[in-house]
Amino acid sequence: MNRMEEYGEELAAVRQDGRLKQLLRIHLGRPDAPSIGAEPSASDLAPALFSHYRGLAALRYDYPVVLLDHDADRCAVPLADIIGELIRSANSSEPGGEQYCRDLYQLEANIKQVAAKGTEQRLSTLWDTAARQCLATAQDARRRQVMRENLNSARGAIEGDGVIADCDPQISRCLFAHAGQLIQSEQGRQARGTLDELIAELRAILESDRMRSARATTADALRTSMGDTHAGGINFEILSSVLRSSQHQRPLTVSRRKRVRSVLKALKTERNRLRSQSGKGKSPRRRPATVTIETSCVAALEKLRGAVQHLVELFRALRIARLEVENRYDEARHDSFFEAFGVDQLTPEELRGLPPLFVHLDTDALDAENRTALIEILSSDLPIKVLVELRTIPDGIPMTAGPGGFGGWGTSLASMAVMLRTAYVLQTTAANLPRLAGEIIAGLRYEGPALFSVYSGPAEEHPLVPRYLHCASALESRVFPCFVHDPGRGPECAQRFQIMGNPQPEESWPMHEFSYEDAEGRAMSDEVAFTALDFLFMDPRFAGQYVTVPSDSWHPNMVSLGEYLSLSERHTFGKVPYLWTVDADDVLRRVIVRRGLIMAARRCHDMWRNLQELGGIRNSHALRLLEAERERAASIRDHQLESLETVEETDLPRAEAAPDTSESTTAVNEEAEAEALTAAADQAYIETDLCTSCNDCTDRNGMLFAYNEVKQAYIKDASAGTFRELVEAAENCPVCIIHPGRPLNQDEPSLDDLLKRASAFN
Amino acid sequence: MFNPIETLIRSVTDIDADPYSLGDFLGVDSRWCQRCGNNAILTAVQKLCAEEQLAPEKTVFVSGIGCSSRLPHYMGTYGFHALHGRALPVAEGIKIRRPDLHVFVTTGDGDCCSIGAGHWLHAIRYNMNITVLLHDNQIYGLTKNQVSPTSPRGLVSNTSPHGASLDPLNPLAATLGMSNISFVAQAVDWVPSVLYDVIEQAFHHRGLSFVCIMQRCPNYLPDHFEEYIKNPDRLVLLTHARGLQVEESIARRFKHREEHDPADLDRARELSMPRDRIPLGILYRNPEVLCYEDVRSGVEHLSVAERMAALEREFDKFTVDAASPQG
Repeated sequence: MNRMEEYGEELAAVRQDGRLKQLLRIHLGRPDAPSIGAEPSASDLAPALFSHYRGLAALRYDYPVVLLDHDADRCAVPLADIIGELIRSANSSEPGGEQYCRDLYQLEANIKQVAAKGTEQRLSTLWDTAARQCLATAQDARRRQVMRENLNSARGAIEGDGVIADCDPQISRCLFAHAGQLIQSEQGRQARGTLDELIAELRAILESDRMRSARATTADALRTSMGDTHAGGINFEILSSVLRSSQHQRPLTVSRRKRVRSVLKALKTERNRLRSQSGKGKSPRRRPATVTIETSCVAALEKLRGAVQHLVELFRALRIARLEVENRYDEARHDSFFEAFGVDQLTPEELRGLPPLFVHLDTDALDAENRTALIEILSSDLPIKVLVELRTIPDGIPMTAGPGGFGGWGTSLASMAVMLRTAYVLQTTAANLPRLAGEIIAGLRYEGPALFSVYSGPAEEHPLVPRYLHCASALESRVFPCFVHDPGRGPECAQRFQIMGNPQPEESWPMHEFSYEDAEGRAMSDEVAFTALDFLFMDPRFAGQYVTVPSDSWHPNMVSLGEYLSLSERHTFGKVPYLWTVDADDVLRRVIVRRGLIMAARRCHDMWRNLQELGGIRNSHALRLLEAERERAASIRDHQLESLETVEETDLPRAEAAPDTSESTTAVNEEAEAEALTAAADQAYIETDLCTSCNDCTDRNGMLFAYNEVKQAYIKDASAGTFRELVEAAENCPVCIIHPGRPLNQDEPSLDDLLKRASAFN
Repeated sequence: MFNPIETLIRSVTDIDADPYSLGDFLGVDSRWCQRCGNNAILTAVQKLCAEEQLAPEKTVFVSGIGCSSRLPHYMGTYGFHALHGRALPVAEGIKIRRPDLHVFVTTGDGDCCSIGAGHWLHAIRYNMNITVLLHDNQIYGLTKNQVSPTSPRGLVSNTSPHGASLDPLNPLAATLGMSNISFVAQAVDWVPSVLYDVIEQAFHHRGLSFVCIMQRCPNYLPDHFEEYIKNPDRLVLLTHARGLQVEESIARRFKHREEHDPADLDRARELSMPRDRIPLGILYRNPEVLCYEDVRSGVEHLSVAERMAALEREFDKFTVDAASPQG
């Protein structure tokens, strides 16, 4: 079939429609495309769905965020949450409660204004500044007094303090450094605790040896030890002779004493080093001195290699210390082992227990050498935590008209890292970092390597789209979806991998209600998808791929992007995809998207679909298995029905011709009847007309049990649940009308017990 | 959930409208405990509304306070969740002002027989055309386990740690002892077909139909009705040509059946007294009792302008002319 035959009338219609032909030429990027609209400047227009968020400063959202000191589990809390907690804990229905809430909201707005200017201040400082501003607006002295009391009372109720950060270009690094510092302190405390314990034990060994020594038991040493209080009451000479005569234990050997002292010295040195690192009271915000952050993976690996000798000595000392404390050190066996102790003797657990190294990479710094080093880190057991910050997505490959790829090395890095299996991986954008602070902490606590791939937006902010919104739209548009891979959660993909924080994760593209007024001022409403091409519209690199169309050139064959992308290739014929955009005055415009970008959007969707599958949403393996199981269950049911019908057919002649029936026929019929009865008894069923609609079984498994049209339960699909569910439902049914039959799956666990329990209801 | 706009559209295009199904009478999802007997009553009334093709906008469920009184939320009709014990006067107010509406009352043993007892007795006497469903679970469930007026003697609860010291109030006997009674019946939630038939008869009766429904509380009295559920011999089905007529397939589940003429008040009173077996069916029915709304018609239907004019006329009677001489 040629193209003309396939498309037939549609092609003829397009050929006859001059206006549509012009729009299609623009969409296809044909050289002969007419110039019917000015190409939009990315800075003049924004996707229409952004129009509600223009006044971001007036909205309460996840920024600014407070980087709280000392508590890793609450390392980043949105200011709005802190104020919200204060308001929730106060009773707004009490006299003055309403005013208390209003005062706090005013204060929050003032703090946000200051934070938006990029000043680096702590919450307590900003609170005072904002409180003064609020008080200055009070109408009279009485109102001022009430406000002062409200704000003071709220301030007293805040738990913790920290630097306030807005969604600026430094936020990812800042939060990373802050979380790193908290984890470093936490791990430092734990390490110091272990060292302190071992040091105390080793000291006790030496001290008890000293106490038994001749020098410690002289009369003078005892007198000094006991002090003047007992000087008149005790004869120290006699005490000394008694002690010396009663000492039966042998003193430490010279070699053991030497070894214990040497280990003790090594451990004390390490403890002092950790103490000097703890950086008491310093703020992490833009003071990375408290946690050292490397800017290259190569440098991080070199640093780790350089520290290997130190680490070998440290772990050697730790192992000897433990053996000494437990009195298990056997010189004949252990001396030679520890003489040869080197990096090869370190266990994976010891390697993972090393203090973490932090690396911050900008995608610009991702040269070939660094990429190789990064892969080496992510495939290792080394606790190196890498923050890769992306300023441009998709990166690397220039996007042009044509089927090209979508993404780039940086954009796909996190997905690739998941496949290495050993690394903790988090991909997200700066917009939802505050909500994922717990995941960052989990990654830093993870014993192996971790990769945090974060899109922070371009250095220069779009004039119509604030950075927060821009980053949020990268997530919303599926261009940079959020996911976490945590190997610490278990061996299975379902345990390790989660797509979280993505809007409407079940959908291809998030759908939003969009209301507007048409040219005549009539209220209109549409459901609009936010697609990858809404996000790319803000990227000046793709300005040439979008063409604004004046309203007099609009055509019924123009379809919104979301609808166009949902059509199969065949059904897009003759259709022109457009994007709703708005200018600074909120005037709506349709922008035609060039063909090349449509291909890019489809690729982006494919990548999202892949993530959905990994995250357990409509997983194709699971769906295939489910379909096979359904078919199997249907075939069992059909088989059982057939056997029932066979019995019915054979029953009739047997009854009529009973006197003449031969013995063998009767036997066959009886056998068939017994078989059919057994098959029927094997099936689960409910005495539906006795059901009291109590919701117990339907809440248990809505696929297995369902209500009929008069809300009484029946077995909807016996294969949609387990035999255990059937038995438990029968046991819990208040009117005992569920009969579980026999299990479909003979491999179900604890079947003997279940069959026993089911027998009471069959 | 009842959607007034959709109903409005339906009412103007009624000829082409699809018949109502049970789904049209679903409200929000029920929040009763799993296995609660209230669910069976809810399903029965939803089924009734669908079977009788009651327009949702012409149907009102009124309740007081208690587990049972959450029922109006779960109906796709109008509803009124009233004050404790005050479901009946609210329902009467609705009925006298809007006799065209189908008014149902769902009330519990505490709501009806304790705090609302005064209203209960007078509502029976008024005999307005309302269907009253008493969900009698014999315990206060919503407030978590206190004795109710119908709790059996000796029941240990949070307010009767040594066992309830009084014999229970008998709602059937109390109702049958009143004057102007017109319809008294009893059902149990765990026999849904009889429950539905009784409620259907109650709905078709013109006058106040009082249906006492024994209802299980799986949380606080989990085993209370167990012997009746497991042993249908403890139930006696009342049937009659002028009373309940059930299908043979249902009737044969009851070993004990009694032909009881609902016009026989004496026998009804005997049946209502505590016995070994619980009677199910219609105990008493008298369609001749006058309905209050028939003897005393509702307020005249006036437009807003007419109402304002009437008010002005009344106020004018008390006008003091400032210009008139004092004394």
